[in-house]
Amino acid sequence: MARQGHSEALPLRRLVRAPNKKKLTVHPAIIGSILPILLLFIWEGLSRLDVLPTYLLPAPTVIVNTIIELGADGSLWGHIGITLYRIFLGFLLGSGAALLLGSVVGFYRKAEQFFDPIIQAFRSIPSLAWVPLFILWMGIAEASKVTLIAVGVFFPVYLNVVSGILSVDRQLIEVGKMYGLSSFQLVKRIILPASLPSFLVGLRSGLGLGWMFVVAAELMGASQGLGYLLVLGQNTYSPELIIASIVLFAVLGKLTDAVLKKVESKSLHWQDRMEQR
Amino acid sequence: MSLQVRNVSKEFENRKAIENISFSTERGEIIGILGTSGCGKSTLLRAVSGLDTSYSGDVLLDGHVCKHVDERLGFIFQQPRLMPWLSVIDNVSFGLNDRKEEKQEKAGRYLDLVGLKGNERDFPKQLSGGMAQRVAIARALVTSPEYLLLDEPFSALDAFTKMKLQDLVLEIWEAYETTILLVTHDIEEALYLCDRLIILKGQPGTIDEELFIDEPRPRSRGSAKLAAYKEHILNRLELTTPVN
Ligand SMILES: Nc1ncnc2c1ncn2[C@@H]1O[C@H](COP(=O)(O)OP(=O)(O)OP(=O)(O)O)[C@@H](O)[C@H]1O
Ligand SMILES: [Mg+2]
Repeated sequence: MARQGHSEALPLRRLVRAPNKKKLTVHPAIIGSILPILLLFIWEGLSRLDVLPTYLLPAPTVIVNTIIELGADGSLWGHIGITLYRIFLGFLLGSGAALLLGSVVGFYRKAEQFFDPIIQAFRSIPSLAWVPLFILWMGIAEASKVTLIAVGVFFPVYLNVVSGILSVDRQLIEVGKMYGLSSFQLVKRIILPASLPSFLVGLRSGLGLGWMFVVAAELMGASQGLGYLLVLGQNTYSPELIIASIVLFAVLGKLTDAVLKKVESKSLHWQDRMEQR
Repeated sequence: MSLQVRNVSKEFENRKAIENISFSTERGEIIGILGTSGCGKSTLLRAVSGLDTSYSGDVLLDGHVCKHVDERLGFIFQQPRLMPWLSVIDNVSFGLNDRKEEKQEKAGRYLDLVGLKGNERDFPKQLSGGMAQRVAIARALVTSPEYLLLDEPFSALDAFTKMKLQDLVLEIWEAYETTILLVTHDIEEALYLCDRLIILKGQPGTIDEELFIDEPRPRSRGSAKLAAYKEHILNRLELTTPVN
């Protein structure tokens, strides 16, 4: 019996067997959704039985209703729209600047010596510490928010671009040199494609930070946006509004990440990766 | 039409890797550079290729000093070094500057030559080691180099693939009259392929002996004459490796 238990613990064995056994194959998404659904039911039940105080934690159905109402009166689209607009602009600016500066620093040793110390110094400042200064400089309108998001997005993208370029296989560059490629051609035909995976990783973690900073930016004062709904919910004692906003953040964050992931797997199909088995 | 190496020396951080290497080749000759590990074979080949330019002495191509990479030279490395993001056919046509259709047509022809017709659309991750090395061979040949430099091109392959690819090199050599410089530490490979062997020895590496292999092609891998050569080379090289 002990032997059997042992062999079942070996993941390899399952992998090998899976194809020829026609046991019911449960999609991993289904397994993964069992627990959340169960918890939702318990939560709903407890709320209906008045075990959970509704002024602190309203039932899931109440939250869903809040979202539906917001959608019905049209205000939801404005909030989502402005939040997406801010993150899109900040993401574009931040990752664009990071790509530019990261490429220069990656390609030229001299540029690295010149730029890297100051960039590392700025990196050690927690980005939220910029908030008061940005508000002072640019007011509370869009500019300061977009800047904050851009700053948040910049660093992960920058770091990944630089390390991507620095870790390009020297052997591949030699192949290019053997065919007499110029520096520009080397960049275009070898260095850029070879560092693309790292750049995309940077974009994805940059986007994650972008979502974090859009919340911060909207908390610090906004008249519209999902972050504004958080503040509104706090001020009007409506937890359902806060949780609705959190849910929307989660859904949007996941959706935008899925878009990037799609781009990644489309453009990196040539990679020999564990994930693809 | 010849490759000439004149007094080439190379130093790494005050340590000499090769010293005063001189030899010349005739058109269509296959020259083997044989030596134990660390005696500077790769260093010599990189100097000849122009990938490394910080050496002293001269490399002459067709009578002119040439201290940069040249399109007359093709290099086949020990590892395939394919661009993982390019399909097989795009890897083969990597060094070509023609129009797209022409590139594809040429690349296709050379893929056929190395027996990989039908794998054009594959990506390097889908290839076995031997297939990848064959793609690399096709990539080096597609620009029709007059000189082929090979740095232990088959050392990572199994015995069968190795023999097949050695025969492939001979076929190419026959068809294109390429002058070949082959670095290897596989004595049998050197004896099977080469017209002449240059034996490097010591650290820094110097030429110990030049050996003409006087055996008509096609050669038999098991021939007694080659075995005698092997014996001779082994004796020669064993002097350099102290028994520990
Ligand atoms: N980049 C480098 N920096 C410093 N020393 C080096 C470098 N490359 C090679 N060497 C030294 O030069 C000598 C010759 O090296 P080389 O790579 O040419 O040997 P090799 O004959 O090709 O050996 P192998 O058969 O193992 O490939 C060695 O002693 C090595 O330590
Ligand atoms: Mg070597």
